[in-house]
Amino acid sequence: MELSKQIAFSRRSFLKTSALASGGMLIGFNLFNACKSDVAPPIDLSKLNYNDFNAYIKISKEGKVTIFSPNPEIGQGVKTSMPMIIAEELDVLWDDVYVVQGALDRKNYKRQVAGGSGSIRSSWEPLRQTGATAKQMLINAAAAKWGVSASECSAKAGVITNANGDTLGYGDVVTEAATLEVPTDVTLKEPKDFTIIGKGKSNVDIDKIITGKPLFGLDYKEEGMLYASVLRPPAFGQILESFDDTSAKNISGVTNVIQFGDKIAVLAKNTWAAIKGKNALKANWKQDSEAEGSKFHDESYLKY
Amino acid sequence: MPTFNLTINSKKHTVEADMDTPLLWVLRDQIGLVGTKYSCGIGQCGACTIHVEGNAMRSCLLQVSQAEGMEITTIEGLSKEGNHPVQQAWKDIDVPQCGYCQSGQIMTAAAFLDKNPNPNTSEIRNAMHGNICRCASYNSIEEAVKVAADKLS
Repeated sequence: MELSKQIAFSRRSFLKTSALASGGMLIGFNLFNACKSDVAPPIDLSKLNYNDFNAYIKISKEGKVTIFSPNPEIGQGVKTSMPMIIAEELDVLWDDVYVVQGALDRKNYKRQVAGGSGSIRSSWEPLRQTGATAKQMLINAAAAKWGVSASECSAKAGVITNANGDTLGYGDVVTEAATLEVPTDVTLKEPKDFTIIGKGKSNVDIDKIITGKPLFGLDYKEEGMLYASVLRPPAFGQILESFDDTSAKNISGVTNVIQFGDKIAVLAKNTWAAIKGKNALKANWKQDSEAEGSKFHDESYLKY
Repeated sequence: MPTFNLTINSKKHTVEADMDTPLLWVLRDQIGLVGTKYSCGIGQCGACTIHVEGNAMRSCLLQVSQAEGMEITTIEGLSKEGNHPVQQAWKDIDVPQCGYCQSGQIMTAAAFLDKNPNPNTSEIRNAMHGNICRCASYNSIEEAVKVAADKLS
């Protein structure tokens, strides 16, 4: 009961904030590659005419759609499935969709975690609302352009059609649509009309994965960056009493040793030096509280 | 610091590194080939698998000094267009979940099928059992190796 109330509340505020959110930080994709995430950003970003609908969707004047997947992908498939839900209600062709990992932005995305099999359960409705809202705004913009009522228009596969059979692509009306008021009473599709949800789609990162392109946190590189390796207490319930970093600092490539909490980080010019430095640390640990073991976990879980 | 001459994906590289540096870190940090993954660092998981003279090997256990004069292939060099039969099979079956272990899985499978293009199920399981997948995509891996074998034969 509590959960459904929460969703209803966050959906309202989410639609308002998201429509106001402006781009900039989220830009960086290619107009001509659909359904892929392994594309280098175009060189001249200023030439892109992307219009923000909200923190989830961008549509270019050419009608290409970028969907931002907000949650961490840890093998459960949300980087593919969450955009599928938006694309379904937005009513675009999946092959025209380009998926980007959303940046950490708790204001707009609300629940950016992975755990408890909760991503789809808690985002199912907000994601559908997002897609349906954007679709309605595009329809409203097309109706205004034609001077007809929006109820006489429909949209399918990125194309809006009116009663006379005239058509406009999403890209043709996206600039106007982005300025319109956000509708709050959109109709969601009937499940029998789904064309993307329920259909198997490949992992959006498949090409990157099978060719070894940078994709994971460890693959990130910045000019002049240092590498760190961290020594942690060997068991829960232990704290750091003292440590000797003399040998660690003597290892070629090690630049610094930093204690933070009960952990010690060895910073180095390359990963191997950082690992060797960590291995060379001499730390004394003290048992501070009862060691956390499987018995403790079993007992804790039995409470639920 | 000593200098080493390496041949990686048919390209010559000269790198400076400590003698004991695992090839894995030379590939990742120095040459920028990050498709080869670090996971356990002790040869137990297979995420860092590369080809050395066509044989699947753990790059976390191979010191850079041992790699000189060897023909090294990483996931980036397995095929020019990402279209090696094993890569294609991985795509057909949509094997990866998170994807982290998959370059190692692909490299192990490619070296295995090169030597045994018509394996039976138990041979496939035996060849792949040293590559750990935390998402447990094992059934898809097995299926993809079979698909790749069909493509190769």
